[in-house]
Amino acid sequence: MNAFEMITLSQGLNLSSLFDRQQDFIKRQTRFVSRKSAKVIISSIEAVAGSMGLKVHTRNFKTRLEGLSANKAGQFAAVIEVYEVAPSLFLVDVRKAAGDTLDYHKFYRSFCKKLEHIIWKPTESNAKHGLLRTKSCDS
Amino acid sequence: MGCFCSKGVKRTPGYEEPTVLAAETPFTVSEVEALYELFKKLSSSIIDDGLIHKEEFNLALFRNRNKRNLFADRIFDLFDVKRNGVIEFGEFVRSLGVFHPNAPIEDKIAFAFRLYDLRNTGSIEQEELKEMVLALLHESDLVLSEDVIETIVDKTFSQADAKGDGKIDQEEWKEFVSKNPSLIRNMTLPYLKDITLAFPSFVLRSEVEDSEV
Repeated sequence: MNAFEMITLSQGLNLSSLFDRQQDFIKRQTRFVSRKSAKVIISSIEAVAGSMGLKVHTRNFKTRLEGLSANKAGQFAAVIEVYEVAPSLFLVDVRKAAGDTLDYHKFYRSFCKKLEHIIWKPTESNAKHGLLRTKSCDS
Repeated sequence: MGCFCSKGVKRTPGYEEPTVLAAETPFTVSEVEALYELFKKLSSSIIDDGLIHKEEFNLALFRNRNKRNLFADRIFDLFDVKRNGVIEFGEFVRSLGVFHPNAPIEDKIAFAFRLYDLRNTGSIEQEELKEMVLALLHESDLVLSEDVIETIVDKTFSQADAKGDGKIDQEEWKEFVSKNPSLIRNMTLPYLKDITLAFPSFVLRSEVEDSEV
């Protein structure tokens, strides 16, 4: 992954929030890190999304999830992209593509719970080796 | 001068007529009028003076007036063309014009370059790139080791710095973007084409205003 590409993930560079009418304080962009292979990451994401009743479409490390909103009244969609940040280190960026932000946040929490096996949460020892430190997936 | 431009409404500094702005940006007159509705909302959220202050900008972007974010600061500074610490309506529309799907790609590439040229030196230095990567990681609550960050920055920099002089100039940036078009994906807001749909009430109101004059 290219450093400039990484930078484009910033919420500060995403001006579409200026047009958002919702007054919520919830982050709409969320990401986590994984040390599994890209293939495993993608297949796990697809499996979990499928089990959550979402339609899955993947192309080139980019997955789109679609479904109905919680109250079945609207569309819900999320886009997931997997980036290789360093050898065996992948950044998974998840963002809402359509639907209610509150729904998205609920989805993300549940999504992360089911993906615990691929999300890397370093222990004290490997954090000391300066590899990676991250807050829990739903920060 | 004819009084077609005075509708008896007090205008704040920096206001420019929609017809003027439409002529000089990719927006139509109705789109500029719709943007004015948005501008009024944003510029009155904390200080009701018809100008967007930094805190109001952060509030709009993050729903948090006190959020500190390097990239939002850069955007604000670039939008604030006159450098008077606030974004006026004219500046708002002209700057957003660059993000319109119909805006020339050269404008988008140039805007992104100025965005990343943190110290406005005319080129993007390696330290600036590193600073931005750190800012992104901090924003995402992710921390990578010094080595990993250096690796990422070095690799990207060497790809972009074709002349190998330690900085990325406009020419190198253009070349780099043409090879990696996703680098300027934030520079287009498809939503801007449908902006009049988001503010339909204004369209009705402006017709009423015309007949009142």
